[in-house]
Amino acid sequence: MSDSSIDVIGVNYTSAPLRVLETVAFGRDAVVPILSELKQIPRVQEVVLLSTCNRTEIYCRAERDSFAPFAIRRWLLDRGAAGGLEERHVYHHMDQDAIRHLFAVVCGLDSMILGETEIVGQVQQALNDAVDAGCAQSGFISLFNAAFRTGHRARAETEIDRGTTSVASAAVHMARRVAGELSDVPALVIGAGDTGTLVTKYLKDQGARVCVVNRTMERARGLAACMGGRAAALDGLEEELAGADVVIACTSSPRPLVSNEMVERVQKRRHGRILCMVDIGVPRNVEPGAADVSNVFCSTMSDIEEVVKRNLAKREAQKPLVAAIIAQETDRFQRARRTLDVGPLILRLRDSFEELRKEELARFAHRIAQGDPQAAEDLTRSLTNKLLHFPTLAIRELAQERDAVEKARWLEQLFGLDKNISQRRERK
Amino acid sequence: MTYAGFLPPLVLVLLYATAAVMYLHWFLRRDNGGAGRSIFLGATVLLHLGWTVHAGVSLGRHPVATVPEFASFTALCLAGIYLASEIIHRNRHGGVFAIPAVTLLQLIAVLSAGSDPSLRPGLEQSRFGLHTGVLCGAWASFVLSFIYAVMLILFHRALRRRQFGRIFEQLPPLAVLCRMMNRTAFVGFILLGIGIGAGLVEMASVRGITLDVRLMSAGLGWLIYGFLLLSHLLPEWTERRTAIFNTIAFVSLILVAVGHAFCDSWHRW
Repeated sequence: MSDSSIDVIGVNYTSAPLRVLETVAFGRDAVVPILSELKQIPRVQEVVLLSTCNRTEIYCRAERDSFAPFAIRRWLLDRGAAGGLEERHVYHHMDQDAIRHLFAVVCGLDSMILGETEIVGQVQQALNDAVDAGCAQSGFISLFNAAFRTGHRARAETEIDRGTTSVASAAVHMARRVAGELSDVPALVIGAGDTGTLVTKYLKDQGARVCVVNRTMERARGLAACMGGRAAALDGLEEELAGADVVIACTSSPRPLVSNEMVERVQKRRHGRILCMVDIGVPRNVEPGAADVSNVFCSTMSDIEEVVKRNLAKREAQKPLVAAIIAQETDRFQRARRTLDVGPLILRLRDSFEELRKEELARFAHRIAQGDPQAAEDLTRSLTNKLLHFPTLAIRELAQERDAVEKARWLEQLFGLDKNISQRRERK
Repeated sequence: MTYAGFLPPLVLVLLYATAAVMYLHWFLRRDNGGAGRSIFLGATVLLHLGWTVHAGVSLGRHPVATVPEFASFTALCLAGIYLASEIIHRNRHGGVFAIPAVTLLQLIAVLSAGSDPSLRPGLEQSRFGLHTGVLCGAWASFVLSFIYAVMLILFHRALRRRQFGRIFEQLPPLAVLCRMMNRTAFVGFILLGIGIGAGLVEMASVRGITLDVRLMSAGLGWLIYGFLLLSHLLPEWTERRTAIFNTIAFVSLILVAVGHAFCDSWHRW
């Protein structure tokens, strides 16, 4: 019925190796020129480019049975040819499959970390860029809105995004399970590397008062200044431990930085208050015996990995539920789309009938004004004849065709003939 | 007017049971909402309070003189103290265990209404009402503190055994559990002290103070909870030990209460 098709042509982390994927990863500043270029391809009506670190996908709406999607595929292959992009790396989904794919992407089903929520913002950004560039109109806006609705449903009705899945966020989660809400809680981060930066960010997001301790003071200062925390030297570690309720250690120091004796001394100064320590350093940054000190709870990297593994397994179990939601929403969107597709046809039909009515009314206006009693009878008969002229011709032609009986039944249904006959009989 | 044949206590049982189911449903679904449950429970507590006041006015005396009244008032105190704890600590996990206990107490109130004995002389006096009413509050606080203590022991066990499953994820954070357990135990300790004091004054005015099993056990309970509240000052003392101590103290109080129910001579007044 629809005179346009929806296609998605893309490459992602499962279809191509990372080095290949990188060659077709586009920064935000490159998106608008690319969209303009793709829009120039004949028969392309709308186009959206989604480029993240795990995928590059081009969504396009083009005239049905046109070569536009294949031209886009060719364009992508050409762009990635230098980096080794081949036919086998590129996937191409059409119509129902393309819609389902977009919904799965927004739900996080197609992500490297199952159920991740960052993708929603990335898809929203891709759509905004396309709208701003004049490459996406009502058709794609309604499609992407349906995708966002599906993503929202999936996250509200299932547990696809529940539980932390990165080591840094799982460490902060572990601290929250022991120390409670971290708002205004004194927290100490040992290490200012990549993991330390992430941990500091997550702790700040929770409202903790963060102090960063690092071997290199400059680095600690830089991170603390960036995140709005405090920095301290490694020499003052014991002092800082005494003042913290949450400690997350994440250095790559070859020997433990926090000894059992240090923790014992610290706990005496703290009057036995609960101290939560999370050691995600490799090798260990906190001596194992620290966990035996009263009211000290020390989690290690293996604990964190166990939590992450459990959460991922839980998310995996939610996949069928999300798939069911995607199927429902795809079906719903397709039905809405089909209704929209017949809209112009209905409009044309009504306009044509209305024109006939006005013509006939004008033709009989004089007789009606004179009060001719036969005018109404003649007007309605003429109108009926004109309305049925083309359908009658079509039915006569149809009678010659092979599936005439089937089409005749369809016409009966269209004009409600069975119903009319039975109603007339009832009136008699 | 007594509990027998009176409709509201049964309605309250149904309302508390509904609240218990709502809390359990929320707990199993593991979603972030649940404010509707708290509002429903709050409305039920207000209704219960209104009915208790109405009963007191209708009777022309305090409404904590008989066993059914004692059970119902303890249920009201437990629900009220739980709700206060939930609001203060912004944590409604305890409701899954506390509200069924409230329902059970209210059910006991309804079931024991038929055997409502006539009041012994003196029980209608307001001094006695203060004694029993405050002790109801103390009991309710200790029940809640016991619930939190058990939750704390379970959480601690899961943490030490590296079992990061449902208990670890579903119960309140360890530090919050400690605070809730200690604060409710503190409220119970204060109320028990007032209750014992009021009872002693009452006893002295009637026939002079004589020690009996109930009085001694209440005094001992008061000392145990007092020690429990100060225990964190001891070196090497852990919150887990406080929780274990709390459960032992509560079970001891329950045993004494049960003993008293069968042996009237344990408490003479």
